[in-house]
Amino acid sequence: MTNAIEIRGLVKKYPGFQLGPLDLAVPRGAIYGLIGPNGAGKTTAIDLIFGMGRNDAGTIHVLGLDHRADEVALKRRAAYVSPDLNFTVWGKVGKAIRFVRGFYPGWDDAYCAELMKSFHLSDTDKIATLSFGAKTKLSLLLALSRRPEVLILDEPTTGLDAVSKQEVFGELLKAVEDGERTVLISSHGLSDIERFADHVGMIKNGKLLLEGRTDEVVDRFRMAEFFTENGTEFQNRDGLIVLKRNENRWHALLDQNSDAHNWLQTRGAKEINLTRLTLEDLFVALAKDEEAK
Amino acid sequence: MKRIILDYFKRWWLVLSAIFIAYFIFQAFSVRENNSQPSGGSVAIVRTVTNTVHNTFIFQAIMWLGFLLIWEMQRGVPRVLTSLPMTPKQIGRAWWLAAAAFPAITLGVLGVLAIQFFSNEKNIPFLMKNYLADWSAIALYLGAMFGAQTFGTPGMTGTLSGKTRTILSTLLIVIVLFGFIFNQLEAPTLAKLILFFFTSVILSVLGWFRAEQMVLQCASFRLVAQSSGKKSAQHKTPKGFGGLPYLIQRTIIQTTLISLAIIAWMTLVMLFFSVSNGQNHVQTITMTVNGGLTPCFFFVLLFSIVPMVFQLRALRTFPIPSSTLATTLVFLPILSIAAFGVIVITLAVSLAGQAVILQTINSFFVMGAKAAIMVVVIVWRGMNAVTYLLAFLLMVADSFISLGVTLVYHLGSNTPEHPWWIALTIFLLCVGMSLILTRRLLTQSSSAYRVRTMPANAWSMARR
Repeated sequence: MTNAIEIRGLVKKYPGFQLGPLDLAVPRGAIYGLIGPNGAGKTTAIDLIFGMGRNDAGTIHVLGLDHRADEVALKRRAAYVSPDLNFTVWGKVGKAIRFVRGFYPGWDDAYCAELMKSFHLSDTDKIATLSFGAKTKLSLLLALSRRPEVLILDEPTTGLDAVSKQEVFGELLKAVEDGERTVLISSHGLSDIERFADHVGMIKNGKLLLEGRTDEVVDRFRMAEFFTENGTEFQNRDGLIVLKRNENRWHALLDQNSDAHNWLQTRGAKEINLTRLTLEDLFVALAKDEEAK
Repeated sequence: MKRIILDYFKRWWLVLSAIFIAYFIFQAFSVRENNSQPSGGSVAIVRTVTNTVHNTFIFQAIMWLGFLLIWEMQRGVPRVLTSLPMTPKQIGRAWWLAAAAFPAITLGVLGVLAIQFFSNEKNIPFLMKNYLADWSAIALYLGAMFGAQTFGTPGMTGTLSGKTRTILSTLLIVIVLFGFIFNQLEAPTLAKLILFFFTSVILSVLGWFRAEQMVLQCASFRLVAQSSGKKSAQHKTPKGFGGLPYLIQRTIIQTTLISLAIIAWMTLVMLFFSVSNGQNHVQTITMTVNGGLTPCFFFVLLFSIVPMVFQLRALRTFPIPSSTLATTLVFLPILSIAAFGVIVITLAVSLAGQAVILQTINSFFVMGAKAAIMVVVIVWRGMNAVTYLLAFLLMVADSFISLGVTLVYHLGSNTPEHPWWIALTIFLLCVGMSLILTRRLLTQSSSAYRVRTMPANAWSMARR
């Protein structure tokens, strides 16, 4: 499978923050969830794809196109959605559509009308008076109607109620059902990502902590609960992150791809009980460990 | 209340300090000039300097002082403050004190201090009497402007009464502003003075009592907006071109209509004044065009650049080369100014003869150059307090350059017209520099795309 988005050694430095070096590969046709806390660098990475700021090092390729050398060609085939996109100055929804439509010869009017219906938007709606969620839907409508090959969404579910989230993800799934389109979605709504994304990348403090297929990533880790009898101390090591200790009772994150399980047994851990984690639990544990470092 | 006032000063300290310092220096200079006995050609040059500094800096600075609160509201401050443990009445009255009373008192104290320190104890009663009249006009303007703002509506509502109210409240602000301008431009008759005085006093007092309503209205804007009923989805395939040509067409039409409305309003007011002063209509129109072009061009500049900057993030995600985007950003205000200039020349020449042509062309080049520089500043800084200060300095910069030219080459004479080729050269240089810097900022800096103040929280472009 070829990659729709390939980021290699990406670095962007700000005073007090550095993104990267970041390597990220989004397979073609995938829904890739980029998750991380506020200030992790998700928006910075996405901004750099669209030329909003210049990277200090590294390369970005989308559909094989270099983000700087092939800027215009890339933007014809990739679309960006975010609640931060401001179309208020256009006054009404219809005018914003006319404006954006002018940039894309392949604009799909029938699909646009269909999306208007499913998002409950109308040409005559004043953008300034739309709710926050409706503005996000407008942004998504403007992106989907151009039938992009790559869709990049930055926190699209922020401010959306449960029903609106379903509508947004429903349209996203429809858009990628042919397997040709790729979606990169950044969010801290981890339950949504776990449900909809088939690939996931975790970012914290500008660094990618983990990347892979969502089911494989979630399957790889377990919450290990165990006891000790003789006051043995456990520290973090490869494949093991100690999360909590209550006298002789321990909780730790265990990587099943490592030899951490055997190591615990040889060190005298008793009654090791492994339980499945949610993506959110996993993310919190990894983020705490990164914080401690 | 104390915290609200301090917070206001903390955010605007740079602008306020600059205005207060300049005001004090100017008053000191005026006092010394009034008490000295110059002879020969130096009288004319001192008067030229005093008038230029007053008209291009001091007067305009005080004029913009009345607008600081509007910018506070554009930044969405009421919504933030109403969530704090304070009543809207306390917030509103704190603003009345911070935006009207304290600046007026400070300016008054600075003027009195200037008289005390620089008069050498000569003619103090005379100077005080003159100063009191000038200061009263400033204090009443600040109070009246606040009062007028309390009648403002945060957005154009769909109903007829809502639209009427929005238009009337905007008109009230314009009347206060132009009342202040014309009060400065010429000595008013006793009747006009009394009218100005009483209107301003009433508005100032109303401002104190209506401050609470102003805060509530501005803070609840979004809630009101969201309460509009849900309509069924309607979509028609757009006809005509879209993309950048549509953006350019729409911006030019909007800015031209707004500017024509402003200049028509100014012409009407000037005609009203000219009837009582016995001027003919040619003099009046020439005066209006000469005096009104710069503020109109400035409005065109704001109305064409600011909407572009608010949607810069979206624009950057479209398939537009960065050089094309930079060129659009730089040339859009220039084209808007040019379109407006052409209409003004066409109308004014047919009414007042060819005397206005040179003035208009020179104004166009100067404002075009300023627009080009402003684009760089706004893309670089966003819409923050420093941007407003830089915009103001930029607006008055050419007057100071003219003053310098006058002092060096034409001692004692009036400020000369710029030869058109000087203005053209400056224009071309500024445009060239702006194109390079804007493109660089668009591609190199990420700060240009950080989310800025939403204009929808106050009187803004969202209304259009």
